[in-house]
Amino acid sequence: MEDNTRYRMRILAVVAVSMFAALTARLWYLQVLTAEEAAAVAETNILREIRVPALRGRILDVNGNTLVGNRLTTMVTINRRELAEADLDADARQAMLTEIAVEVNRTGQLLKVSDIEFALADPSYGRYDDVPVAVDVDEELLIYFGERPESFPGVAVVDDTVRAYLYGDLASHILGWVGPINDNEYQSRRPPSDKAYSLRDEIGKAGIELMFEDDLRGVAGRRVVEVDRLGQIVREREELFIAPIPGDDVRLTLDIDVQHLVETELERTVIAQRAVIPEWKEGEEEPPDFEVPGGAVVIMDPDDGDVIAMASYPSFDPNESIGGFSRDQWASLNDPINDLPMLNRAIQGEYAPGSTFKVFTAHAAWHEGVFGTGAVKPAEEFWDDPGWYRLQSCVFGAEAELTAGGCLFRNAGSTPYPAVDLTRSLTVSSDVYYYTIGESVYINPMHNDTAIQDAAGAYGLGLETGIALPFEQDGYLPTPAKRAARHEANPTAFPNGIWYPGDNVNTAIGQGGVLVTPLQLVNAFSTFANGGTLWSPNVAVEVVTQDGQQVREFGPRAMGEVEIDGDFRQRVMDGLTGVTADEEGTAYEAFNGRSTGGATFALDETPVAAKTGTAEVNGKADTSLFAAFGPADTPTIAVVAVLEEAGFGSRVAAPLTARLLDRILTGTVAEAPTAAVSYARSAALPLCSNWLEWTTGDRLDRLEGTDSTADPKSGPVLDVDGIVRVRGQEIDCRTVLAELGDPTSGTGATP
Amino acid sequence: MTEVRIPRQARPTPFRHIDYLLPLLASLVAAVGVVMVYSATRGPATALRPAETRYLSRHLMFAVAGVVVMLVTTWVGHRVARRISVVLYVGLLGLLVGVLAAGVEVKGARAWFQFGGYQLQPSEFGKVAVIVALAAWFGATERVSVGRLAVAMAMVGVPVVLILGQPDLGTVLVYGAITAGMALVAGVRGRHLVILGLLLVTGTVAVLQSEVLADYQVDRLLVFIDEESDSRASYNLEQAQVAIGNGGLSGKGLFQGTQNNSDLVPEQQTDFIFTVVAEETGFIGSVTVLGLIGLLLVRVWRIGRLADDRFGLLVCAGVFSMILFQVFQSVGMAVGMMPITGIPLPLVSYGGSSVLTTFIALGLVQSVHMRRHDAQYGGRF
Repeated sequence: MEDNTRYRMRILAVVAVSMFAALTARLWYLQVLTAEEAAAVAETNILREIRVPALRGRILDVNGNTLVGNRLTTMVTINRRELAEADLDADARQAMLTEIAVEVNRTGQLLKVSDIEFALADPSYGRYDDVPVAVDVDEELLIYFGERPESFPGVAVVDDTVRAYLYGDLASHILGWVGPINDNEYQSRRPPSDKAYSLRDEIGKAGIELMFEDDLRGVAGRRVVEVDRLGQIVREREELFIAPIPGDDVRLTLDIDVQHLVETELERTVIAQRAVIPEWKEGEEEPPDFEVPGGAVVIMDPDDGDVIAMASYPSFDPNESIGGFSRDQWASLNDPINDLPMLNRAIQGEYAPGSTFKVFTAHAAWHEGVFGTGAVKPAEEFWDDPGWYRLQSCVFGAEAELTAGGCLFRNAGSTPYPAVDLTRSLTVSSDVYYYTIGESVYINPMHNDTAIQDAAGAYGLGLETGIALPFEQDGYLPTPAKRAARHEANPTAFPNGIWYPGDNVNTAIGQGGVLVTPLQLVNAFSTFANGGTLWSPNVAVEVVTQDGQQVREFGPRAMGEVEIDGDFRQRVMDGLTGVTADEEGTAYEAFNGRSTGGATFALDETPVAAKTGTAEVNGKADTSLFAAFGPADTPTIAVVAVLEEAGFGSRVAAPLTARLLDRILTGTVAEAPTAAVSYARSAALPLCSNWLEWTTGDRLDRLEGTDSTADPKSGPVLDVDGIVRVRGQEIDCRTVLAELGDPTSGTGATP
Repeated sequence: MTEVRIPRQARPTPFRHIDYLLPLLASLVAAVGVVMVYSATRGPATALRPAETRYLSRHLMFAVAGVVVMLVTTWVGHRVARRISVVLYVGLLGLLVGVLAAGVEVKGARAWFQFGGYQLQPSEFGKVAVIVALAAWFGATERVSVGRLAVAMAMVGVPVVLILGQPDLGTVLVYGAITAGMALVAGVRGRHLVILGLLLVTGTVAVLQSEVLADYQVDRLLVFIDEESDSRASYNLEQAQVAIGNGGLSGKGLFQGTQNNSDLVPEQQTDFIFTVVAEETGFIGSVTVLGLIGLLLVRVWRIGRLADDRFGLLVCAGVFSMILFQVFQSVGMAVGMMPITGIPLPLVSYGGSSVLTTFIALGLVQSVHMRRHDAQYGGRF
C-alpha cells in the first residue's frame, strides 16, 4: 500500500490516541483528583432525612388503667401545594370536595364540605403540608382515591398514630387534648433541646396533655433514605436509622372508677334538677328557674392532697380533637349557650362559698378571741337566734341602709333557731350567729379587721392552689384595703371604695364578693380534716419511662400549716357531723333516706362531717354547695360539690354527695366502662330489650332467625344466650338490663 | 515467532485468516455492556420488589444476536456488500423517508419503526450503509477529485437531512465523523478538508438557528458552552459527573452505585451508560473498558492497513471513525468534555439497533481481514 495512505491512517491513529488520552486524563481528574468532593455531593444528593415522630407517653390513672393512649387510624389528607397546583376553578374544587365528602360519608363518617374547607384553612398548616380532613375513615378509601389521582389532586389516604382517649369524655378537663402546634406556641415554648418542635407537631393544648407536655412528648427519631431525582424513596439506609424514644407515661392520682361515678352522678343531678320548679309563695316575686348550666365535684384525699376525682359539667370528648376539631364542634364547644363545656369549673369556676365559709369565720373568731367579746357570746353558750340581725353600728340609720344593703340581715326564710352555740350554729346553719361575729370583728377595735379573710386565706381560699393543671383561677377574698385599691385604680368600674360593717357581715357567711373555686374549697376542708396541713393539691403521682423507670415523683407538698385549737376543732367537728346525723342538720335528709335523692347512710359506722352552702347570685337561682369529709374521725375522703343555679345546697349538692360517699366509703364503686364498652352497651340496649321480651315471653322462636355469624363491624348482633357483639365488644344483656333497673350502680351507659 | 505457515493450497479457505482477537474483544465489551445495562436498569432490588430483568434479557438477546449477525456478515463478506452498495444506500433512503412517515415518536424524535415489542432505528443501520457506499465511491479511484468529493458530500447529505428531520442530532454527528474519517483516509486534500470543516461549522450554526432541532436539544448543546443556561440540562451534566467522581479509584462495586441506584442520572442505560461503569468500577474499571475498546480499534486499524484494496481500507477507516467518535462523544459527554447529545456507547449501551449495527460493521472488518489474500486464490471469494 502506498505511503500516502499509511500516513493518513497514522493521522487517524494520532487522533484516536489523543482522544483516548483526553478521556483518560479527564477520568483521572474526576475519579482520583476530585473524587472526595464528588463523593460528598453524592451523599447529600441522594440522602433525605425523614423525622420519625415518637409515640406520646400514656396517661394512666392511679391504678394503672390507661386513660390516654395512642392508636392507629386511617385518615384522608389533602396536600395544599398539590391542590393549589391543580389550579381548579371554584366549581371544580367544590365538586371535588363534595365527592371526597360523599366518599367519606359512604364509609360511615360524617363529613361536610364546609368541614373540609375549614380544615384546609387551618393556619397551623403550611403551604406545602398535608392537611388531615377526615380521620378514622375506612381503608377502602385508599383504593378509591389512590386509583384516581388525577381526579383528586393532592388527596391521600394515610395511616397515622393519633391520641386515643379511651374513656371518651371522662376526665376530659383534666386530661386535656392535643393539636398541631401553632405559631404562638412555636415561638414561645422552650422545649428540652432533644424535643424541639417542627411545625405541625402535636402539642398538648389543655389539661395534663399541656402541663406534662415535656414528659409526654417523646424524642423524635430519624430515618435516612436514598431518593431518586423525583424524590421517591429508593431504599432505606438502616445503619443511619435513629429510633424514636417514646414519651414518658404520667400516672395520675385520679381513680377512673370514682371519676366515672362522679361524672355520672353529677350529670344525673344536673339533668334532674333542671326539671325541678322552684317553690314560691303567692304574692312573692317569682324566683328564677333552676337553669343549672353547670357544676363541679372534686374529691380529694385530705391526708396528702391527692385529687381522686375532679368532674366538671358539661364536658366534651377529647377524641373529637383528633385530626382537629371540626368547625361546628369548635364553635359549639366555645358557644356560651352550650355552657362552655371546655371550662374546667373545678378550678376555673369562681363561686361564692355561702355557708360552707362559716367554718373559716368560726376559725377566725375562735383564734382571734372574738367569742365572749362585745355582742358575741362565748362559743359554748346557747342563745336564741331570732331569724334576723340588726347591725349594731346602724345608729345613723339611713347612711348604712343605703350603702350596704340596709341594717337588717336575715336567715334564709327568716327561720329562727332557738338555743344555738358554735356547734349547733353549724349544724342548723344559723346566719345570725355569723352576722354577729362578722360585724364584731370589724367594729371592735380589739380585733384584727381582716381576721376572717386572713383565716380563709390560711386555709388556701382566694389563692391559687398550685395544682398542675392550666388556667387555674384564684378566687377573691374582698378586704377593705383591696376595695379601696380597686376603686382607686378604676373609679368607674368600682364606684364604691368604702368598706362598711355590712360588708364584713356578708363576708362572714361567704357572700359579698367572696369567691372560691371548688378545688380551693375542698382543699380548705381537707386542711381542717387533716388537722391543719394545707397541701397543694396533687393530680399526678409520678412520671415513668416506658421501661418502668421512675423519672419524677410528686410527693405531697405542704403550702402552709394552720394552727387549729383542739377544743375549737372538736366543737366544729361535732357541728359538722351533726349536719348529716342530727335530725335538725341541714343534710340530714340527704344522708338518711333516698326520698330526697340522697342515700341511706350507716352514719354510726362512718360518720360524715359536712356543711351545706346556698350562695345567692344576683338575678339567678342560688348556687348549691356541699362540702364533706369522712369518716369524720379518720378522714380519707373530702368532697365538694357545686352546682350553678340549682337552689339549696341541702337539696341538690348534698344528696349528690351522699350518693357518692355511699359508694366510695363502702368500697362499692363499679368499674368504669371505656368509651368502646359504653358505646357497645348503648348499641346493645335495644337488642337486649328484644331479648328480654323473647326470653320472658313466648317469642323465643324468633331468635332462630338471628344470624350470629354476621360481621360484628356492621352492627350489633344478638345471639340466643343474650350476648350482643358489636365492634369487637361482647355485651351481656343481663348486665345491661341490671343497670337499667339500678341506675345508681354507677356503670350505666353514658347517655 | 518463527512458526512457518504453509497454506493448504489443496483446500484454500478464507476462514484460515480470521482475526480471533476482533470478535473476542467485541464480545468482551458487549458482555461488559450486558452487565452494565442490567446494573442501570435492575432498580433497587428489595425483598418487596425483585430486580428488574426486562432490560437485561432484551439486551442479552441482542448481544447474542449481534454475534450471530457478525458471523453472518463475515461469511457474506465485504465484497458482496460492495456489489450491493447502491441497493443498501437506496434502501437506507427509503427507510429514512419511511420512518418520518410511519415511525413512532420516542422522546420527541421520530426515529423508530415499531415491530411488536421491538423498535428498529434505521439511522443506526444506515451508518453501515453509508460506510459501504462511501467506501465504494471513494474506493473506485485512487485520487479523490473535487467533483467526486462533492458527490460524496451529497451522498451523505441526503440521509443527514432526513435524520435531522426526525430530529436526531447525535446520529448526524456520527455520520459526519464517519465521512470525515473516510475522506481523510481516501486522500482528500488538506485544503478541501479545511473547507469541509468550515462548511460543517456553518451548517451546525444554521441547524441550531433553524427550528429543526427540538428546544431541549439546543439547550443541551448550549449547556456545554454556558453551564447556567438551563438548569435541567446542566443538572444532568452535573449529576453524571458526580456519579463518575463518586466511583473514585476502584468504584462502589457492581450494583452498589448509589447515584445509579437512586436514578439520579437520566438515560443511564443508553446515552449515559458510562456513568454506571465509572461509578461502580471506578477509574480502574473505566480505563479497562476504554482499553478494551481501544484494543478493538487497534485491531480495526491494523486490518485497515492490511487490506488488499481501497474498498476494504475505507470500510475499516469508516468503522474506526464511527466507533472512535461514538466512544469519544458518549464518554466525553458523561465526563463533561463534550456537549450533551444522545449517542450510544458502542456495544455497551442498551439498544438493539446500535448493538446490531456495530456487530455488522465489525463483521465487515473481519471480512476485510479474512479475505485479504483473495488475490492468491484468484479472487474466488
